[in-house]
Amino acid sequence: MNNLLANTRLGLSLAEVVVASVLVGTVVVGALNMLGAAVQTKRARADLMVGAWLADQLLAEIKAQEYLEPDDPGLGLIGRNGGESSSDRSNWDDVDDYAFYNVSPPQTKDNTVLNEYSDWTRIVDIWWARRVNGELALLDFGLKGIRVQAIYHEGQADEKIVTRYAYRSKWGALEQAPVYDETVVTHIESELNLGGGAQTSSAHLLNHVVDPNN
Amino acid sequence: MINNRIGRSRVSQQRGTVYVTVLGVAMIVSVIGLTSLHISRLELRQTQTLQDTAYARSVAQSSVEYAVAKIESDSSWRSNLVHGTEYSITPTGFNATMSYRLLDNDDNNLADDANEPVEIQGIGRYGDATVVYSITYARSVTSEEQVGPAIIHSYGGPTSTNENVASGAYKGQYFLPSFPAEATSWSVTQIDVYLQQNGVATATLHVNLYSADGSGHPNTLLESASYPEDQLPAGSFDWHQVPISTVNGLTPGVGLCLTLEGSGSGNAASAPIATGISQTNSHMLRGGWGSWNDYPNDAILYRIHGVYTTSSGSGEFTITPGSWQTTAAF
Repeated sequence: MNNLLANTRLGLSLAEVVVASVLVGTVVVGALNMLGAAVQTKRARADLMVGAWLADQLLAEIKAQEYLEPDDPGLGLIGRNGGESSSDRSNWDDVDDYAFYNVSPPQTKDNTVLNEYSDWTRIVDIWWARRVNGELALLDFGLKGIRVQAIYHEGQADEKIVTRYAYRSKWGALEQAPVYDETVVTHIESELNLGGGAQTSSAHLLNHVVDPNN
Repeated sequence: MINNRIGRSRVSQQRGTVYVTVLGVAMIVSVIGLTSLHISRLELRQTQTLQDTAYARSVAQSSVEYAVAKIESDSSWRSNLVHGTEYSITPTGFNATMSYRLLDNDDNNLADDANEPVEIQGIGRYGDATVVYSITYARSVTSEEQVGPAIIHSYGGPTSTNENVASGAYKGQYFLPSFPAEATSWSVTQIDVYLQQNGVATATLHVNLYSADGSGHPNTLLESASYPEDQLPAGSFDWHQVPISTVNGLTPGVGLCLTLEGSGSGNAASAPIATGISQTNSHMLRGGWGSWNDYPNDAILYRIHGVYTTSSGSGEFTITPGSWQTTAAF
């Protein structure tokens, strides 16, 4: 009688342990796969955000500039004018000042280096565009094409490129002189500091927004 | 014998419990894992959609810029282009679709009148996103045809009391500026309101400009500006300036409503109020949460700056300043 009662308190059999181990192993392998996929998705999202943000931020800044050099609109060549330094973006004031811009790590308009994006390079191309189809033109017909590229690990095996295009017209946004004298805001840049990281963002204003500080 | 049967039955029940437990845990782990995977994929998709929309917006703006440049190069654009027809281009390397269309909202006919304004819609399509920008392309108003900016309506005092602006305790003013008979349209360029902070500066003041309904009460919001209370004059009353940029093309003889609305805890501002005064084409508003009452003999202290034009414009065709806006995709 005591033997029978003892038998009912026996532990798990070898077969149970093996089957349970197989089940647990399968679940763990599946869970690790899902974790890996989730991490990859999160990383893809971060890359997608950073690349697009870096490209959009610079594109907005360029579009907010005047079509022609304000100090010398008659010259009309692609590139910076005398007195505009290639290393000092803060005094660039027309669209084609950004031609051949190629900087890593990215910088803000006031030349502050964004060290947290040291893996990225930003490149800008500006060209005269044809008004028939937007393609490359040899002369200025009043339309400029803009291409901004944000490149992760430029030239390396894991290189990723986000490209943004835009057009700017001689008769486009903010090219209309106001009837009366007023100072308007054309571009807003903001910086968000969170958890030790900083992110700047910018927006190009299309309407004449009167400068409240002027 | 009986005890032996009971014992075997208990053992097999215990063995089944192990499998059920393992399978239960496996199911919970699977559900948690699949859910987190699904959420991260949704976040990726949401990010992709936001990025697509941001770029589509930029492409839509480019479409307008391109359309304006194109019609500037074609003296016969009114006859070469058709009202409402969408024209698309996709330049080399341009990984999005740019389109534009011209609308003559007066009579659906671009060619019948060289002086009629035209609405240009720039359409940007990228990924699953479509954004449409709209501008008015019309003859510009010359400096001879525009008067101002100047104060076009105001009340400067005296006042007899102070009232608080707070959440649900709004103040405002209906006003109808008077213009010469030759005025064809008017715009608001700036609003000044006389006020100061009130108490602990924790609330927010919203200065809103509305169209007016038939009773001179706020109707449709035209422009809004918000100020944390600590940005308002402190210690004594003073004029607070609010720039206005998109309230254009108003018809003479139609008034607007200026409102001071508070949000957050506490009072957003304190404003001097005149009572028992006589005023024409204006009345004070008190209310909140969409309910307003008018007070013909009371007023806040305010100045409305604006311009008015004496012609619909005889200058060159340009983008009308302030006319950029997004519109519904189609």
